[in-house]
Amino acid sequence: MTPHSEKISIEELICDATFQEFCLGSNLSSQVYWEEWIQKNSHRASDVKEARDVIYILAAKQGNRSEQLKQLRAGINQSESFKKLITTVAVPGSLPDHPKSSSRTLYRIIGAVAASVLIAITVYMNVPKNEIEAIAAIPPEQETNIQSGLDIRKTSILADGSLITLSKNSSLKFKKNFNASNREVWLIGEAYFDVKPDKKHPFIVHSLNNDIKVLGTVFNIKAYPGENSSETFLIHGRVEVIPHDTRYKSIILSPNQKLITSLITGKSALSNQELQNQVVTISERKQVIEEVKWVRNRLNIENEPLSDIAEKLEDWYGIEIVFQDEEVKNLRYSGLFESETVIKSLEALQLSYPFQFKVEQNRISISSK
Amino acid sequence: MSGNEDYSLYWEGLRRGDKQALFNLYNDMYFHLIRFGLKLTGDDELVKDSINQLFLNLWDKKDKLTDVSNVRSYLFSVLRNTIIDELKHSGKVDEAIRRRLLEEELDELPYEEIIIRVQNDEELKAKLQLAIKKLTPRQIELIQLRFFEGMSYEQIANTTSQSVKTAYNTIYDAVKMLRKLLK
Repeated sequence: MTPHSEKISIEELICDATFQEFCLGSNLSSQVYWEEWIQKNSHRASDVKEARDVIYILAAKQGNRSEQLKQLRAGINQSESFKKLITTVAVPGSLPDHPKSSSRTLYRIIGAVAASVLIAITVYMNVPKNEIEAIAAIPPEQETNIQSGLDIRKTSILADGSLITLSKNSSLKFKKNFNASNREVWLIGEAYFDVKPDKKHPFIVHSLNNDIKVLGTVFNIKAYPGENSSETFLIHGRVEVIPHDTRYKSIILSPNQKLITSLITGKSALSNQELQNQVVTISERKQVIEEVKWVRNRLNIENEPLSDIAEKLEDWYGIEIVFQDEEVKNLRYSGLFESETVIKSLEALQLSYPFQFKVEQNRISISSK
Repeated sequence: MSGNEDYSLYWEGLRRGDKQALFNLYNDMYFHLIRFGLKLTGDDELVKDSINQLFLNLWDKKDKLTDVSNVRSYLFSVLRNTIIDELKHSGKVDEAIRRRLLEEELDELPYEEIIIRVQNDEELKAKLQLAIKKLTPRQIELIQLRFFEGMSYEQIANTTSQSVKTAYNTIYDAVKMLRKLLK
């Protein structure tokens, strides 16, 4: 995007196509760009507000057609996958009655869909595993599936250079054609993401209740089936959380904000189940550390060879580390390292002694050059 | 612009279970339905939700859909019923209003009326009404294409057979005048 001058007039702002996209929320890169611009040019805040007000008036609150279409698509996919789930899984006596479909109102019909979510969750133990995956709408195409099983952490590096650490009992799926321009994954459970920045190709994580659209950022998602709430915690950058349930709006998270999606338990009938979205800001550093403590590694090293350190990293992050040549193995280090990813730990070590490392999906190889 | 023939083709596709036909119909009808819906209620969220619900229902019941001779007016009337039901459900409508809404013509509201209607602030409404009267029909047309229908300057230039520069300048001048009048 060509940078906009800090002296741009209000009229020019109003007529600018990307500024309009920013105001109407129809393009995430324009949104990020203009938010940064506004931050840099804070003296223009009142002008920006004025421009925005005019755009809102002229757009007549009619919504953005492509956004609305996206919601419709999501609604159709959702209702289809629930139908599939309900017809393939026999849950004795616990299915809610479908509303007599004479009712045309939005809330009643989608209410039934929300009830299906609850059903799907409560019957977790009885449902074959592949049906649970249908909830997260994982497509049946050829795919790669990474599972952590009982490992406390399992780290993988994807083809685009993004690093993902899975927590225990979690799985991450992506299609075989995942690459730098096609970045879409399906997550069940908890994972820590360090996504390679690329504004042109958003990284999309599909999780139990929400889809998370990312431009290059660090965040943690916790969404285990069978639990009453799921969480998305953003550490750096910016993500857009798009709820699968079309009644809820997309939410843009800023750093240190956490979105908690939880089931509100209705008073009696199952059909009263609804989801609640809540954004919490975590301002204290101590709390931030607490949130990602499961993945953050504190290495206290006293004159140890790189081979020993590599072993510790291997154990902690759950990724294989191999040495291409013997000499680097014996480089000795001392110091205290605190990192959230294996890559950052290695980069910190590189500051003291030069060595190289190469990453593959589930292996890191270290060499002298 | 799509005509009724296209709508009928999409309708046939939808009955055969073609999802793309549903999306095409949606894309072509979206702004028409919004403009019609806003005539019934100033609650834009309700209108948008009702439109999506309407299409979700069409997809759900695609096997039971019958042949419809005028797809456009059929969708208008289904949307009207959806909105009335929804208003009734939330207790916002009594019998008298319901009857009046049912008598509304099945056509759209012009853009200039819509932008005034959706405003909640009475003072702004009045100012907007006066300001719009000062714009030329051409200026209103281009503003609608750009801000309401979301066309790019290139698309506007193509549809109105003028250069991108002229299209931009027309909108720019209109915006400048509006700003002065809305102050």
